[in-house]
Amino acid sequence: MRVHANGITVRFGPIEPLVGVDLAIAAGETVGLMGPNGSGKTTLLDVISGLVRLVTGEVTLDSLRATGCAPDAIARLGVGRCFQTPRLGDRMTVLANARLGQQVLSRAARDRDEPLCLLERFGLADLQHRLAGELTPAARRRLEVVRALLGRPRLLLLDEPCSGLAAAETEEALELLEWAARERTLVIVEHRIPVLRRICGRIVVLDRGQIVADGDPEMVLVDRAVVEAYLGRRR
Amino acid sequence: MSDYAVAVLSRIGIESFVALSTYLLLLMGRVSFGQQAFFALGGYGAGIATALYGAPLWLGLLIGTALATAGGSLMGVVLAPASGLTFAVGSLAFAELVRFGLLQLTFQRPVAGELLGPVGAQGFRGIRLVYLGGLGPLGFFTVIAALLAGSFAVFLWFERSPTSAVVRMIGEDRMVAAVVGVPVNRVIHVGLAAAAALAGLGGALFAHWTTYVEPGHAEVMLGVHSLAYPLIGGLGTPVGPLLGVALDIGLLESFRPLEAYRMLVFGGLVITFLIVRPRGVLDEQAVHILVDRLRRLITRRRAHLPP
Repeated sequence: MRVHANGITVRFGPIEPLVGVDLAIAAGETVGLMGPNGSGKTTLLDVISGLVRLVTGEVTLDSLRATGCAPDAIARLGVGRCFQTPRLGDRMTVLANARLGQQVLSRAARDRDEPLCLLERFGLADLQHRLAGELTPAARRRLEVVRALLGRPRLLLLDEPCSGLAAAETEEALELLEWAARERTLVIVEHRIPVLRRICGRIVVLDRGQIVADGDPEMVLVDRAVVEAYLGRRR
Repeated sequence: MSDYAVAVLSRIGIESFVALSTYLLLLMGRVSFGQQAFFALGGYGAGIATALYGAPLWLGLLIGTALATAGGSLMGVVLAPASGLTFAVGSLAFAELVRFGLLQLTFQRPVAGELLGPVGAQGFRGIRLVYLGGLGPLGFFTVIAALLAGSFAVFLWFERSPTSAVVRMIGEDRMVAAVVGVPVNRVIHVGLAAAAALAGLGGALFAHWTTYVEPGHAEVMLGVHSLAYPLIGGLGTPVGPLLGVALDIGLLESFRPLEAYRMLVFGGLVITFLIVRPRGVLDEQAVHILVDRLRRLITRRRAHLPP
């Protein structure tokens, strides 16, 4: 899925988390979003998901205008979403949470076995009857990705999918993300540079609501504006 | 069965409809203080149909339920997008509007030489079909039990369907439900109408059981009780609200010897209970443990069966 965000400005009271952001993502691209805390990364994902109202600007997904569409309508266009802190139905079983991801599909398109297959691939099949609230943080992240993937999204938005994971868990998560990135557009908010280097073909850096760098990971990571965004301006 | 037992069981049966109604809304995370409005609408609608126009019982119950459903749908137009305190206060305000409307409603017509129909604050007396028609208290209890069994069966089917997960997800996190493609407001709107239908059916049965319905039945106390039922019984299964009604009415009846202090003791018990188990006896965790044990037991039994 192609994404075009033109002149995006978002305002929460006196704060403007995004100011005139322009971003174009090609179909099948894996894009990493990085930037200091409060730079507008999550807000940008919220804009694409339809969770935030724009002051100005327009979002188009493929050639469809998504500005002003409700989040459920955007999900039906083929957009999957995972949150910074995994948001699951904690009082529901792992399997019920996974199956929820199929809601976006028509009844005919839902495959009864697919949730279990995907839970198996993500190492959660043995936990299918457990309540989601009983899972470890790493398993919660995996389950959220499973739920998103079961909607067969053409664009997957992931907010810090490796946050809080140990080294071994991160490695596992990266392998799964690489698998998930096939045949779809992936936008990942992430702070860890090795993670971005490994799975992203392009990195976009935000600072104070604006894009300060955009391009190949190796180029972007040595960009002066990026270094200044993280470490501050040299006096 | 003694008349007293039939009366208590009939009351438990009737209030179970309101309890199921509130249960459905609580699953969607909606705390309604307004279900009594639909209970009263159901009672008035069914009473007018049978007592004033000679409709048979089934048609009266259907009309009462339909009227309540229409009321729930109307409330949904305004309150489906609301949540939390806004929804709770909005539902109470809607119930008060209905109560005020019923207080103004005077509509009588002569039936067999007697003027029958709602008269404002005096209410609506003479809904005697059950007793004139020869059904009697025990026969009517059978009707109540059959309708409750039917409604309960629908709930059991619903709990096994994917829609149940959708409704529970809306209750847990509305935003997540939206990002997985659920048209949240539409589902809540339908849920409000369905919950109103259940409360309305309860009201329609109540009016025929007591032969009487009045605007006071749309007062908030019934709404508070109807909220307490699923919160006491548990939100993990539709058995929960029914258990809540049985506990609530059972405890109240057993405290009769305490006379004036009965409500005080009862209220204290409910508060203590809600602190200890905030989502009721049969909450999701308890139901999960029970189901899990049952599943293991079945698996073990199957493993021991000869091939």
